[in-house]
Amino acid sequence: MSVEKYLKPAVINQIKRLDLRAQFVVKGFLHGLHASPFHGFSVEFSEHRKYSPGDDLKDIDWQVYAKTDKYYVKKFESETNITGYLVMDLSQSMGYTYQQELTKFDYGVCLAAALAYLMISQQDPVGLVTFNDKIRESLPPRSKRTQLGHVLSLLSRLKPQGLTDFAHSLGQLSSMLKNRSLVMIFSDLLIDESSLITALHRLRHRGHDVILFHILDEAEVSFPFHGVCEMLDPETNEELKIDADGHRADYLAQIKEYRDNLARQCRDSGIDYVRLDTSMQFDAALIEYLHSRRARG
Amino acid sequence: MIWANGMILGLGGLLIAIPIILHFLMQPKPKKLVFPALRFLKERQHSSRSRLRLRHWLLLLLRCLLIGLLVLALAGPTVASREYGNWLTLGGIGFSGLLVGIVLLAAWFRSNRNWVLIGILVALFLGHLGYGGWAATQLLGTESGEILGDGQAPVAALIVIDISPRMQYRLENQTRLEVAQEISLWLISQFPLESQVCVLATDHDRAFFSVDVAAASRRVETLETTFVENPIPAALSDGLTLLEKAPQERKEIYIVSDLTKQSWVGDNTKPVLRRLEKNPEISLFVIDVGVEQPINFALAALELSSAEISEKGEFTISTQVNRIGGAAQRTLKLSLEKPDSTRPIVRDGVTIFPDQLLAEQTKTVDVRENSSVTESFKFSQPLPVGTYHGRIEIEGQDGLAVDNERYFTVRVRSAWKILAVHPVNVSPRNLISTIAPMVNRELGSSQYDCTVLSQAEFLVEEKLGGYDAVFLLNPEPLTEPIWQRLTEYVNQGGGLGIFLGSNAAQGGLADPSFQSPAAQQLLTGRLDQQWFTDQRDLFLSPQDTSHPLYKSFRQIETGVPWNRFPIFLHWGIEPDDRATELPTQALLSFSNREPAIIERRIGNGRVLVMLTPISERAVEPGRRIWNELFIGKFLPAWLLVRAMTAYLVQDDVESLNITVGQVASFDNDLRQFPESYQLFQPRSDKPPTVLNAAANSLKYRFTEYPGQYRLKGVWSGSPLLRGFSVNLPASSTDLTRVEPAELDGVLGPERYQLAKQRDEIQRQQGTARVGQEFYGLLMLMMFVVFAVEYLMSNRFYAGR
Repeated sequence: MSVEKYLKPAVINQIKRLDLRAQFVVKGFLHGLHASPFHGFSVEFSEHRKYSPGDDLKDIDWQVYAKTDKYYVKKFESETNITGYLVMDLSQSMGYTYQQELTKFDYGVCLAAALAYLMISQQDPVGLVTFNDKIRESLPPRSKRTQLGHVLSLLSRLKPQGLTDFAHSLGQLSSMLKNRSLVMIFSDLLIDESSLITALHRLRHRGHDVILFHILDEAEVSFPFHGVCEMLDPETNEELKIDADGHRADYLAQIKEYRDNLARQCRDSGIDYVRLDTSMQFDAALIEYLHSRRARG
Repeated sequence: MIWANGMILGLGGLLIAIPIILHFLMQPKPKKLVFPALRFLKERQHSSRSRLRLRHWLLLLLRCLLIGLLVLALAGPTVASREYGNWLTLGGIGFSGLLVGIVLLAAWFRSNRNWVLIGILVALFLGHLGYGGWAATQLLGTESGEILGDGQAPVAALIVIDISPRMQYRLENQTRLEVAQEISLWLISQFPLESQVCVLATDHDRAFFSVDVAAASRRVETLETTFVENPIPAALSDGLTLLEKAPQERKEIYIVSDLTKQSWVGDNTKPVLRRLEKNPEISLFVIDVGVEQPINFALAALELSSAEISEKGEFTISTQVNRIGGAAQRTLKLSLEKPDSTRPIVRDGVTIFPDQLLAEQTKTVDVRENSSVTESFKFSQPLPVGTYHGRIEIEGQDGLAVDNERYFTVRVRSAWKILAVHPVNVSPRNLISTIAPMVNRELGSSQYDCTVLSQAEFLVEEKLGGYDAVFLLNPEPLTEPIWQRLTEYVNQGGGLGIFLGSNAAQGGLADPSFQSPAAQQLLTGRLDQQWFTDQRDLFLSPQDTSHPLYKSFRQIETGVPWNRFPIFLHWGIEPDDRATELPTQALLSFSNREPAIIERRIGNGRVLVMLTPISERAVEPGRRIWNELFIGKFLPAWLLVRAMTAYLVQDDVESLNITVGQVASFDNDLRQFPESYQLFQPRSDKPPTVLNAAANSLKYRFTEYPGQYRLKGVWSGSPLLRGFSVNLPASSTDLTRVEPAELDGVLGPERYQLAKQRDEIQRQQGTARVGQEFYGLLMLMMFVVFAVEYLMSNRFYAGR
């Protein structure tokens, strides 16, 4: 079986260890890249570069030489200058899924782990920030191998709870970041749109690159409900009795409008907006990251 | 609407409560779901809730409808009217089709079309269109003869049988009545067991249900034609009252008639129409036993020049021979019966009438196709005083025999004695030439024997009792005793005519002698003042012409040129207050609404006071004339004075020749006639009855048969014969068929079913009795509603 299967949330769910999950996701992703028209792209952004005179011979990757008869040396951290921050929404709503293998939070964690893995592999410093109504925990960015363990360890301990105050949390984050960084936000963004945009603009104004991973549950995108349902908002505990069939079209139009509007606003502000749902493979998110990485590398 | 299982309706109706109870008490609990993106739902919350509620109600409605339709189908509704049934069918199909159409549209516009479902729905929709089209063609008039369901439930039936004289029309050796009886008997034999039957004839019979079917049959068998018919609408009205109260669910009316116009005309047919409309569950059949194109000879009513003549008088009888059908020749025969003092007599229970003839005349008439010929017979032979009966008949066979014979009675009597009193300055000529023209007097045939006295002579005349009537022509003042004598004369039964004029005035005002109490009693009030106009705009103006005084005017009523005979002067009367004690009424008015002729009854006699004279005194220079009543060619006053004279002498000649159902009324002065009579009806099988005089008159109401009615009494030890003739009105043998529109007007268009043959009756009876059933339609509708409910609830509660 191809390793690409690991890009599927249903498959990755069977792997309990987060480090392995991240590893499998990234491997599957990279394997897919090799086989795809993005081959060159992947090489360019791989962890190797061609040997050039003056390089230390101990840095030559003999395994690659064995495969390709060409000399490649491993890159050095000093060659990149991308400091990544994985910003994870911890709010209660992130813990939701209707009938998928992974909740939005699990999906986001998995994705964050994969990105962390990828970044650490490329010796990019990566940090982790979690928030709900405020910043809850933060792990300063490092590029050492051990950093991956720390990141994954923290991620695996997280539990979604509480309300979201996106604007406040992002305001705190903005003041935390000293250098120009790549901020990768994982959230379902079920918040007031104007405050969200304002917060993102503020971040962007500080010179940070932002990738907004908008993670929704597959049910939130397709609205697969029928009949009379009483819907409960896990954060506010608000209840609403609806006729799901009658509501579907309206709801889908609303959610599409929201995402489209968000995408447009982000594009206008130079923010990468990635719309995801928990049924999607992880590569979409990773490609987006790589695009951003290339643009800055 | 008729229900085969009416009980189910009540019980089933309660079942409809089940979905309602379930709806309110056992509303399905919604599925609880956690859903973080709730805010996107909230924006449409209101419209969604309304939609949700609407769906709930719609579903409830569909479920109630489902049970309702099931209950209806089981209750077995039928309607008596095919048209009504077709409309209901069309309505049901329309409703069902609409539901299918809506579901089809909903299925079509769904994002994920289910082609199998759409195919089924399209097929269903087309099926509805086809069924609807069929029902529409049914409405356009095609009739199905199929007998549906069970028609054996007991019925309450009313059989109205037309027994008018026209039903005696004979064709193929059967009268219409015999055909009607045959069909009615067959109908009765067809009724389901335990049915209640009322046989109602059109002879003012009372409607009642026969004890059993056999009794109803016997009633039919004994029916005879009547000559005093009750129009069918009136009979139907009585029958409907009975039928409305009947407990049976199925009610039927059969009208067996020859459909001649006369049977269907009525004064007021609207109430019947309204009641038939109000009771649509009553099936109505009209069974036509008539003949589309009858062939018949008929004698119209006889016209006698006079039914009362003097001994030397003569009379002429004319009549019209009417022909329906092709040209033909017939012999018309007049026969005059010779009075026989020994007859009629009853022997062995049978009345034997006089059989000898005094005279017989025949005439041959040729009548062209559908036309008439008038013929007359003249009889000038001197006859002794007495009552003479005769008849005119068309000889030979005919479709309707009853109108081939007409009867007449002529009375020969001594002339009425009239006394005309006139002042010397007033001529009695107008009166005498009016009531006893010279020509009659010369022939000795005058009805009135006039004695003329001047007022001075009259004052000494003492034998007023010998006169049948006395006229005072423009009288001069009379003394109180004379007024009293006149009052006494009237009281005894005499007739007094007073024509007031210029002689009643003294210096322009009424002479006091005309204002004395005795004068006022005769003049009906106080002579008041004279009314004058010289504009020729005042004339006699009859208001109510129902009084016998107007008999001669009735035929020419609208053409009488009253306004060509102006009145310039007339007296006014201030009525006294004795009108209740002495019946008083104004019979004729002037055009200024003042009374012109006033009648007062005193004792057995009558007084007529005319407030303008018919005889003026000689015209003097400077004196105004009172009127021009006797100036001109056609003189209404001439007819009026003759009528006044006949009225004053209490001539009962009108009752000598009457039509069936009329009351015969005769003067019976006990000084001249016996008090009691034996009355013999025209039918020999009817025993004579006793008729007693009351208040100097004889009255007989039961003139049910055409023919001669004979009165036999004893006066001064010898038999005294009187009598009268009764004929059918010409209209009662008019065979003109009723128009369909007229029939519709009586029964309501499309309200009844017309049949002629037994199989037609049977078919229509079957259809109407079971009516149009809706079981199939209701089941179809139920299926459609069930399918819609299923689809809707499936979609509604999907994923539960």
